[in-house]
Amino acid sequence: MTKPGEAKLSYLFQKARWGRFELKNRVKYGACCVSNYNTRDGHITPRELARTKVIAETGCGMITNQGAYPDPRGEGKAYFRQVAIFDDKFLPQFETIARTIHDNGGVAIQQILHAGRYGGIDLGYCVQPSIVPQTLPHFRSPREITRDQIRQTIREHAEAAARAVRAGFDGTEVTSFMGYLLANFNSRFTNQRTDEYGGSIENRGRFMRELIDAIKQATPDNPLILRLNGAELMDRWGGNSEDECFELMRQAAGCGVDMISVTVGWQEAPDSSIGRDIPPGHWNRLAARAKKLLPEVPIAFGVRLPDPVMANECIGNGEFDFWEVCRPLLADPQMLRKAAEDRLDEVRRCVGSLNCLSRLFRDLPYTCTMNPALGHEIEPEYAITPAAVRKRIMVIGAGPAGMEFAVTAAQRGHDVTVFEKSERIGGMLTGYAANDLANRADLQSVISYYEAMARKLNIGLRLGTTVDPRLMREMLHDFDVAVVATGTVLHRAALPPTEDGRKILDGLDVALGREAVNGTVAVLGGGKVGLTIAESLASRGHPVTIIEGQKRLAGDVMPSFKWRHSAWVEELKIASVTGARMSKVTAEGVHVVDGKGEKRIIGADTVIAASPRISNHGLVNEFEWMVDELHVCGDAVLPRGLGPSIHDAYRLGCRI
Amino acid sequence: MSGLPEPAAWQVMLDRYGAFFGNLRSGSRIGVARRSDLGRGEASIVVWEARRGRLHAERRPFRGYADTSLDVMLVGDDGAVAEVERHLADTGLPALKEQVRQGGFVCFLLRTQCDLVEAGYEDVLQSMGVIFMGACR
Repeated sequence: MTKPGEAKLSYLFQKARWGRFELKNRVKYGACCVSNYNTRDGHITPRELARTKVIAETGCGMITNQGAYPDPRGEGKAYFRQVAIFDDKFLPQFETIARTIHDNGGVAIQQILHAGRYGGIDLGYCVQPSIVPQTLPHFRSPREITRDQIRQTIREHAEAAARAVRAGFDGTEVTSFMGYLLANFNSRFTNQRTDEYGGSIENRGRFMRELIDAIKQATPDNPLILRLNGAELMDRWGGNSEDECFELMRQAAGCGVDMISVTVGWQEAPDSSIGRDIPPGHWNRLAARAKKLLPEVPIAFGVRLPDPVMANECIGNGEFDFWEVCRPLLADPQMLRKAAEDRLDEVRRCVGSLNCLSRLFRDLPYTCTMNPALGHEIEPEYAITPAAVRKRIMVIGAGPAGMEFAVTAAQRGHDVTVFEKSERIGGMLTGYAANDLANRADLQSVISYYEAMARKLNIGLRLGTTVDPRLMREMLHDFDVAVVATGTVLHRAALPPTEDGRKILDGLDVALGREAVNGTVAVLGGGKVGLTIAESLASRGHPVTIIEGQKRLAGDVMPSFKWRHSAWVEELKIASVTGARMSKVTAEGVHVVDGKGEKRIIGADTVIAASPRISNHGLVNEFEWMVDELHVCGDAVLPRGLGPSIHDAYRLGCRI
Repeated sequence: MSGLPEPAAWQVMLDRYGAFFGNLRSGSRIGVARRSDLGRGEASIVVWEARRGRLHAERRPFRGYADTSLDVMLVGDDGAVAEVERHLADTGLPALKEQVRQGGFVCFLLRTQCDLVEAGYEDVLQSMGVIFMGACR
């Protein structure tokens, strides 16, 4: 029987024939880079297998297992704990993964990932078509791959594909995303060879064509997918133009590739491709161009396309054939099931924070801001299980920590009421979202999700209610548990003294529109909150100066997003004084001693303090003898921001 | 003759923004080149070398990317080089940074991350817009 969401998203949930396979819908689970959950020598771990079970259960018609490197030398290895597929010794775990995917009705695809320019992570070098130095210091120095090595590498890809099929996978995929070996050969940026593998686009595509041919010969009955750039975003550095990218797609199609997944950007590209600052749907035109160019070749696409409704429309419009999903299913593995049941308001949206990728580039396993259980699927402590004792729980504070805890506890069967002194939920995130230049809808979706879940789970919301000892005494014995999730407050005692009747505004009040801002502005604190306020005000025409005590701005910003704030600071002409010590705020402005020891006065009509903020946990001591169980979570423990607050609250919710 | 500005023009910018490069260890070298020059047989580049707290600009032959004497190399397209040249006498550094951010100049790193940090490059490169501690945008 068709579910209500399936009827609404009829193109997405339509069955599809792909060669000899019938897919239950038009959703392809993307390989999601790699997890870094595995062993340093490439073996798949129980942690990975538990994660794979969740992936297999997402309901996607096609599941692509994460990229495995195909060579025993490790030249193709991009990540410290990437899986390997260069030997039969790795087969048993691949067999388990293929079987798990099949058991859940999915078509199983194994991705082969030779990272080329971004590879050799355990070695002192990487291989690429020509010696082109790195632009990201994380990666290894280049060596030119010889013709013999090219032939060997192609052979290793073919052997890896055959091995994947022996393990039970239905087909394989080779990825050039985002700047891996295949892309390195295709691109003028990294391929400056003068032999038959370089020069003209025909020659640059030779490696790809030989690769397709070798894999096809090794696995003649199994489809091959290629992930190819629709845009490298490297053209200003001498890379391929979009026209050249599509010419390479045409070459791949001519060699009989069974599906093309259209991708965008290289890791080092000077422009954004997948960050929150790119509007959803921005790159859809590249998929549509591929489909128009190659109408007979199935096209998969999903770059910065997180919304199933938009994906459904695109498929209906004939822009592509399969929606390739990665990060949205990291954030909520149940997304597709919720979509099928017309419960999209209950989906935890990917907020594009790039937490996942930031961690990979620190050689850590990836995690997700929005999904605290990601990577912990094997641990029962992270599972939501029915509570042994149903408790009456009061939560004080309706920010992300309070709401995350409330939702988790309610899902376990507890009776939860949230008290919030303001008239809405969201806490500090509301102000942050309202001023975020990247994409306000992403952060607002977090609040919308909690609102929807509160309704669904009958969580009591007492907005406009300040909880203090007096109210607590009135409610004595009404609750078994109190959870203090009151976030942070501005640490006013640490601010410089004011003279001449000057006032320092709380950044949160400004962000929430509770305080008006006039003229020139000085923002005290250049972390993510100060930057967001400064950027928002500057974009509205206020001349802004940020005053920061640390040596650099953006100290608490996600590593992969620091560059974005730096660019905005430059573009919006926001002045900054770093390494600064503030002595006072007078009618003239903010008196500082800058990093070089020079005294300066930063003139400002409005002075806003974004930091320092300290945990607001005063209620904990006051309630110690008033309730059976008393807990504190989120920023009220230690100010760490959205991700840690959500994770902290989830863990507390799981165990209470 | 390349279209790259002469060392004397770069020197004006380096002296004006001396503090920006102040943390670079003596012996650190940054190469600047125009991409269209590098394909030629006898290409030359301008090298900024740190000596006793000051960067000195001088012209040198380009010996390929494997040249181990350089730490960093800035390679610009013709338009970007011309744009920076227009500002060298006054706002050369902001113009260069803007070109790096916009992709007109590519910043190649010829040393490992640890070596660059050791040589005092971290602030310089981050300010240039190089993603020093992460990737994938």
